[in-house]
Amino acid sequence: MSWRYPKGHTRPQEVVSIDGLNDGFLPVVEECQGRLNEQNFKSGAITAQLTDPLDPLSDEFVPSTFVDTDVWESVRTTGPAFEAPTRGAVLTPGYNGVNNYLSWAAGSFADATIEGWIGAWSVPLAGVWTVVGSTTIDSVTFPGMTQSPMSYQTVLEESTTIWVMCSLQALSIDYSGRGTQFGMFINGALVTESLWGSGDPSNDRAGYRVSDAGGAPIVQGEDAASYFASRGAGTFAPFQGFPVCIESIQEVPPGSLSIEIKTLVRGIPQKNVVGSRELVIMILGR
Amino acid sequence: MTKMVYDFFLDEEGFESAGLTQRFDSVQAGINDLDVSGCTKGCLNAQHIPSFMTTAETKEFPVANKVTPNTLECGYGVTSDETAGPGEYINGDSYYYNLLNSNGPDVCDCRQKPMPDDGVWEPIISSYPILGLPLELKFPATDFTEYVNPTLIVMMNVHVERLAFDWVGTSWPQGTAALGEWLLGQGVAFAIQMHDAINDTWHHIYDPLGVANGSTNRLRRTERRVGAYTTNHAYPPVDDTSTTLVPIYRDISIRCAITANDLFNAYDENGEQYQIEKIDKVRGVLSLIAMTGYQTFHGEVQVNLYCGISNANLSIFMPRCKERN
Repeated sequence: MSWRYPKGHTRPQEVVSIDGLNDGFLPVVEECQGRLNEQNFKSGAITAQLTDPLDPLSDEFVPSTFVDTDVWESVRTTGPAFEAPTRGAVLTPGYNGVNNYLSWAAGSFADATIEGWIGAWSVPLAGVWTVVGSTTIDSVTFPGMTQSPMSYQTVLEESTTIWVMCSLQALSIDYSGRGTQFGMFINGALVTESLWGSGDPSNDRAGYRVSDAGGAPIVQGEDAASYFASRGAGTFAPFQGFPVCIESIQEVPPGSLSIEIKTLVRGIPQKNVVGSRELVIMILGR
Repeated sequence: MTKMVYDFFLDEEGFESAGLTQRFDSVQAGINDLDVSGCTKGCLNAQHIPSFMTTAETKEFPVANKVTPNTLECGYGVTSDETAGPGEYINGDSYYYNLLNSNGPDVCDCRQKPMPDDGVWEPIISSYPILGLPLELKFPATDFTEYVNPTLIVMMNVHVERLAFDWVGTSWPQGTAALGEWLLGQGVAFAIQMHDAINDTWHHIYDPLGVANGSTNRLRRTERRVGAYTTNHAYPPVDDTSTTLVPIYRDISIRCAITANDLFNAYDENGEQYQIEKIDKVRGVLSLIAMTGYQTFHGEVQVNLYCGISNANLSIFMPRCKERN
């Protein structure tokens, strides 16, 4: 209506017809009864206060954006009453003294009973993609801790763009030489661009070393972070761990939406652990 | 449903003032009474509504190592200058001797204690083109209680190029080449902090449940760590310019959503929980971690850590949300 209205113009000396008048009024009536579109509103017509990202009513009429913040399992913040287990974790390294170091390494994070590993989640299975935090943490060892999978499910009415950001702290004391992988799964399918890590960390270079002690410089490669490298006489593993960040922007269809952050451990699962982690999901517009 | 009552002109109906006025009035009344039922879905676009973000900002420190005299520090260097004893720290310093959970030989499990909640962190700073600028972003002071589900998205990336250490003191068993344990505990931690606009204080973003296992240690949600490499424990780097340093080339990427819940669960300098009223800045911080204590020797063992950061960036954005009435 707004760009080609009215259809006809009354000219001087012209006889005004009944049909002409009705044709003039009719588009106004029709459009005001449910067909007003973007042409009918002037630029800046809507103020900030009228756009509520979480108001389903306004979602119907404005490009909507709402944020689901998920730390472990919680999906949506609800203000002060937010009771989700938004857990961080501390992962302090340690050793068991002279010659006991290796026996310590044979331990399991799942057995941790000390404050240095509060909030950690230990990988339960090898060779299986497992949702981070999906297993119940020992409530005796970690009071207040509950099952906290890094996953989110919802139903979308329309196709949507989602922006998923996940960052976490990982640590591996697995000296088997097999790596740890992380990945984002949307509707059950691995988003390949999100894949982090390698099953064979010898393919990854974390850096190189140059030794000039007592002779010609020697240059050697350093394996990836998750590799418990050359623990015998050379460089030792990064026991402070390694941060992981995976993120992706995806178009998703209407219907069920599932977002999962999973890990795959090729070596000894209990020697791989995830510490502080956060998952942020933004569902962008329509 | 919008109701616009319009009486069609009938054939041969006369054009009278009252009749025309009634039609015009009905149209005017209908337009003035428009509601959502009169609109098609998606009728409003970027031309009509404000941006979905209220705040968006980025700060980036470019690679600076090419212009600094000490290229090994890669533009930014942190070196420990702690003078306190193991397990202690000076508030405001960036260095922490990570004490074991027990000092006694053969009685402790020798895992290190968590770092203190605060007091051992300092901001990441630039070295080029201006030295000493903190990696922080400022935005209008925001009271999260004034909005419905406010969220501040923070994204930080730090590229660590070097992380190494050497020892100081006299009790370090460096002559025992077979010992490698001392390599394990050295590292650097990064985190995101928010700034209390009223009290001018910086705060970590904690796990709301905070304390676990009887510990007073609160869990920092954004803390990320990497450990230090060295070339060979028999030939550790003698200083931060040693050629035996191993470039670790680590990307530290942290993503965080600060919500009203995080402001409710802040802690003051005395460790007491309190509520931040408004935040106006966020920043990236780091803390160097060194292990001390030793099962056999269990004397003071001190190391100096060297951390080189080649570049870093910090971005924020806040999706627009509804104001509370």
